[in-house]
Amino acid sequence: MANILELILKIKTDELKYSSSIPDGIKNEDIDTLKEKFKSKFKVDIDDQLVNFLRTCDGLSKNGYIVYSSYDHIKDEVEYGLFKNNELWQKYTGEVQYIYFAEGSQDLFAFDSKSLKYELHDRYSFDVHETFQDFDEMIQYILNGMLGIYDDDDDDDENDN
Amino acid sequence: MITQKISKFASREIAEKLEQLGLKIMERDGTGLFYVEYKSKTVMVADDKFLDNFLEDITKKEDQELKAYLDELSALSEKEVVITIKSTGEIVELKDFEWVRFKYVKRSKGLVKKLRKSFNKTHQPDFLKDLVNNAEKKAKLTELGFTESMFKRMAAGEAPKGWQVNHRFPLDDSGGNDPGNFILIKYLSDHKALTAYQNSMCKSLNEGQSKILDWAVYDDYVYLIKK
Repeated sequence: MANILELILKIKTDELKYSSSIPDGIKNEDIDTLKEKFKSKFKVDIDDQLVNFLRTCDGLSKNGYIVYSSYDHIKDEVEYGLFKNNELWQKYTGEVQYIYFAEGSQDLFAFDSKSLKYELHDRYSFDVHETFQDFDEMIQYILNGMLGIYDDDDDDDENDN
Repeated sequence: MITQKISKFASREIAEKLEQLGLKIMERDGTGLFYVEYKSKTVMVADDKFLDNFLEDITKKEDQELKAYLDELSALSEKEVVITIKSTGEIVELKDFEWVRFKYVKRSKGLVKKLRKSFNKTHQPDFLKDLVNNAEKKAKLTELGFTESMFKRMAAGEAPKGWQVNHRFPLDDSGGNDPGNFILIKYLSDHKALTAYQNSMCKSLNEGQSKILDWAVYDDYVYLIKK
């Protein structure tokens, strides 16, 4: 979790350059309600790692990525809420297998309730391109992406069809 | 759309036939994709193999049959882009999008992964910086309501808040990481409807498999979904 906090701090610092800030964490008194709502909507318990993230930062948007927040709200016409976004994804895809936590320009970040894995899906094909061992690993990937930090492994020969 | 007219074809017969039919073939900015224009509308987008098949077809098909096919493509391009949500029957209209006929050829997962990384690290930031550095494009974005704060982010290679950079033709298919294939789009719920539609069209394909489908595209570098 330390690494996540460091990344959030970096994002907070970066946002200051744009006279912007990051959202506050969810209030302690709202956590039980969130847990109940999550269980009721998705039929699984909320992951403690997600709750920890939301305690620090209740939703986050940067560089084409958006991590959904615990409460449904619209800002600049964009819906940021976890429940509303999932309602929309389920309505449009007709599937209830996935719980969506975040999205990016190319990516959808979801929990597969069948395989019990956190996954990065390609936005167009829905192919799985990364599997994460837990929510924390997934959120670290997203926070790095917000900062434009990506792995340097197997770089970047685009020509080997 | 910046395009280059393709004037050289291996066969004179094909070139004459194209002229006779009023067809133009354009290559888009080194994207590797060809745009077929008929009656001044883009009716088909093709990679080189699909284009070869199409050109072979036009020399073989009877005029009547060919005309019917081109009219079908023309009618498609003029059809409104509406997506029907299966679960509710609700209709989502994507204004100013157009349908084009398109052959989706699924790439290897390894290559897609490399292209995706390269997009994140290099091509997306470069595209965003270019939008700010190009006076004409910046003026258009200003008209759409982009602020100095948004431009500051873009100048640093970062997408403005609430916006994403998408591919018109996906990396999973023959689409590439060239700016001509990018679109800056606000992530509204209608955008999700488009994503879900695209998923439904291509997610069953395996590597190397292809499917001819009708694909919704918006022919510009920025799109604010209009109501």
